[in-house]
Amino acid sequence: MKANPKDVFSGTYYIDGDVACAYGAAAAGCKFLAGYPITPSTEAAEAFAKLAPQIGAMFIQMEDELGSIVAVLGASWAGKKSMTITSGPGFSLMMEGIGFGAALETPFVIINIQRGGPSTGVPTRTGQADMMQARWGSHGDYEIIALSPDSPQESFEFTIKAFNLAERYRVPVMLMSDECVGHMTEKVVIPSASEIEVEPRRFYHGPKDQYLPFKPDRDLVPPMVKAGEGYRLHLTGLVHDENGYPLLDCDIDEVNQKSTTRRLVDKIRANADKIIEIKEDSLDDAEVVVVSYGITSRVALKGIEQAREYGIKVGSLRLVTVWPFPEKRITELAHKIKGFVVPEINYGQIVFEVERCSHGKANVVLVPHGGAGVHNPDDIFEAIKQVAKNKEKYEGVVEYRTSLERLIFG
Amino acid sequence: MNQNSVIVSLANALERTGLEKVCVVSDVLYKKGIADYLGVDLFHTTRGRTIAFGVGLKLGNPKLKIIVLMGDLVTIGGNHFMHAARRNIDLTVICINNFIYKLKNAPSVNSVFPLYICPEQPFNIPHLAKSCGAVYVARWTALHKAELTNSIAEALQKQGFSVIEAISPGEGNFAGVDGVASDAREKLLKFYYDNSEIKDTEPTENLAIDSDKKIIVGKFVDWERPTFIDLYNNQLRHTLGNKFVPYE
Amino acid sequence: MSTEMSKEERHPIESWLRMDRIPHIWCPGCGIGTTLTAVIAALEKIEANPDEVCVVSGIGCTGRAAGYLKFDSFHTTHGRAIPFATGIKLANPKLKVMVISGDGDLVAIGGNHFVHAARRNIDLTVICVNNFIYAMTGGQVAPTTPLTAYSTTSPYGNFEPPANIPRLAEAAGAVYVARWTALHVRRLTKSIVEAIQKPGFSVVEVISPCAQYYSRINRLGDGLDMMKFYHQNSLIKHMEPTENLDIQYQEQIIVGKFVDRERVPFTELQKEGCN
Repeated sequence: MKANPKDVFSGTYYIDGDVACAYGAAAAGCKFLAGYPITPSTEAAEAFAKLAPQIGAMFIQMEDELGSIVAVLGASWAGKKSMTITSGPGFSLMMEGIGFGAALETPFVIINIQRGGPSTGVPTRTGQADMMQARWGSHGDYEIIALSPDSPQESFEFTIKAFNLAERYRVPVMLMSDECVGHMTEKVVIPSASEIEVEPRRFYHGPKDQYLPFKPDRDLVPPMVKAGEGYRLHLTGLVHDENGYPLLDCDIDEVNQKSTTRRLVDKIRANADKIIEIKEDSLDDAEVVVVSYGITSRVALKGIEQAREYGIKVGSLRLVTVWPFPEKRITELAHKIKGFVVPEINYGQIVFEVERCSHGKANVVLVPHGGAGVHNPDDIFEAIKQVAKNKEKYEGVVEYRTSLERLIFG
Repeated sequence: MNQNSVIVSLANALERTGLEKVCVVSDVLYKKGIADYLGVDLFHTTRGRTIAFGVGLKLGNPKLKIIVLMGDLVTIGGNHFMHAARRNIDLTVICINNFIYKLKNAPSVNSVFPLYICPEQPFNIPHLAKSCGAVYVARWTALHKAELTNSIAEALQKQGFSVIEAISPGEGNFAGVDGVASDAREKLLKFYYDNSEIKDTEPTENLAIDSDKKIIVGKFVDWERPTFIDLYNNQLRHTLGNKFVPYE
Repeated sequence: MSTEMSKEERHPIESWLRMDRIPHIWCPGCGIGTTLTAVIAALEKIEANPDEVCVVSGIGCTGRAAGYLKFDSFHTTHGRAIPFATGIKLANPKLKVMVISGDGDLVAIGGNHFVHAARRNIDLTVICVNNFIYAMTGGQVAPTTPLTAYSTTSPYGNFEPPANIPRLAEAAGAVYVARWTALHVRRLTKSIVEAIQKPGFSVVEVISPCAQYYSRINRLGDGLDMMKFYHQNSLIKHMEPTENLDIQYQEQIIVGKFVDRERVPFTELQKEGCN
């Protein structure tokens, strides 16, 4: 269905990535934001606080991140599309709540404007070191979806996409932006409401006494209801059956046959092909493929351009959805090419997924970066050259080292 | 004789007030069927986050009536308790207090309760609730069933953050070496009868639970204050003037 | 001419500061520097042994205080200054442990730890610098922001009733509670001396101007204008009941020492409980 014209502030703006996220959330129909100030995500909460009365939304600055994430779950069960905005340290605090939301199959969006880490880290500069935490942060088995924008325009569009995916699959969706994109001011075009697709929440409309909150119908996803409509919901974070009631005996048969945990994982894995989105360029005859996401993909463009001028056949694979990871495409490419180059602003996270999926058929070179800035495109160019030159296959992930490092450390 | 008495009082109060669209948020595990018995939507959250979940539910749909059953008192959830009271979010919080407290001279109780010496002072929940701005504060024990039902009914009809502390140690907590004594229930009731005193006018500073004095119960605070959503609407109306649209 | 300064030329408190990190990051007109000087003056007055003093602070403008003091100082994560300090004190009760942090760090995210440490009466001295806003992150509303004040996340005016820190501390069980502004330097120093020497959980709240965010967003002038406001509008009223200590927007601020009582400190309770 199309977006509500009252929620969409169409026009051409010159705003930064954080503010674009707030406009995207408004356009997607988000009506509740509970947050806590943390650099570099505060501009998004401030922009939403200003918009909130105009779109009939509620903004509350909770006393801490633990309260924020749980309040978001409550508002989602009251029927509103809700989200929270945070950065590294707050993301860590929210992990219990994310697991809880995944277990209850609550749709919500978390925007993580990544910064340098670990711990308090570098609050005012960029990093991309939360990518694995997004997938594996909370305890237990569950699956999430994570998107990574590379510009304020994409921050706007991907926030809408995140809400749509959350509603369609009843799963937490994370928008893994970073400080560079969040604080980058660029032109953002917000189209008219009739050009924006918004996925409404899928509600159940059958007889009340036959409703089973966790019985899936389409795509392994159950329809949802709101609190206060007379359904007598009973929801718990304990392992539960289709009715939502906790399994009290918890013996091995009961847990393996009746619990919904298997389906939490399956619903994303089975629908992975519909969820995964990647942007490919010149992959047909490529010898080397650069796999990147977020702001690094823009920096890599320069490195790829230099390499193409040099004569190497380079293709680029940009991850729009980082999780679920495009395993099949990577495996398919690994058979045909010499190697992958993975630049990331961390010391190696997504590169290990690339290596795992290439099954030893292609070389994998990581171009790490300590954060607080972006890569030097020359480093990416040199890494591409290194892979293109090398004829033998080597094991594992090889880290690209700058010529200076090689000079000093050998 | 533990939280079940609170559930019964809650059910009676709900019937008496005839409220619809009621949600109960709890971190205590209840048997299935409680949602149907009470006629509510029941959410069982992680420990301590009940009030934050209730805040989200209330602000997501202000027409809901939210009841929070806190089993963890104010340990993990203390921060959420303080700030929700300060903001006066319209919630009814029932703290189910089954503490273990410092006993010195209670010979009639020793046969039921072993001597647990807890070196820390327990919280004076009514005093904390009042200082943070709650609009209705009361405390009853499991003995005072009728008063507890009355209090819950009053709190449900009140707009704002209401706190009712229900003191109800279960006899299972105080089993001796041979298990729970067969007349434990009578002994517990007698203990409450001997050691509690109804005193509505007592200032909340003196309500700390200590072994030297009686447990004071009653309704301590009952006043009016605009709720969070009222304050929100008022401030926006003041600032935005004609362009103001009330929330929900 | 020697470029080294002679002893008379050095500032008297230099030996307590990490001079290689001066100049500090605080804005002109901020009251945190004044508070730190008061803390150092208090430690000098009681002739504290600098090897036995620990300073723990959280995140925020005030949280940077630990970085400038030449003791064993810890700059911890947001809101967790008090549990960190509790750990230090319980592991080595001989140390004098001070917590210097801001209102958002201590009362918002750290509110739970604040209230529980007061209940347990852990022997800490907490200096809470209250500038009514989250300054380090850019001026967001705080639980102590007065009604109707503007901030970046209350763009239509704050409508949430603010927290009253002395009342909260007293209700939770603190044994010493005082409030001064950054203007009342001598009385603040005296209060800090009393707070450090008292065994148990002591809280000293310092109302401080924030020239860059709170007073700028609300058009209240700069740091000096705020100090003039404190001069004209603060009223000393010792032992005033804490429920009368709410701070309304641009109205009278009541300062003084409000709570000074005796309670058994936690370490004694622990020994008693183990016996």
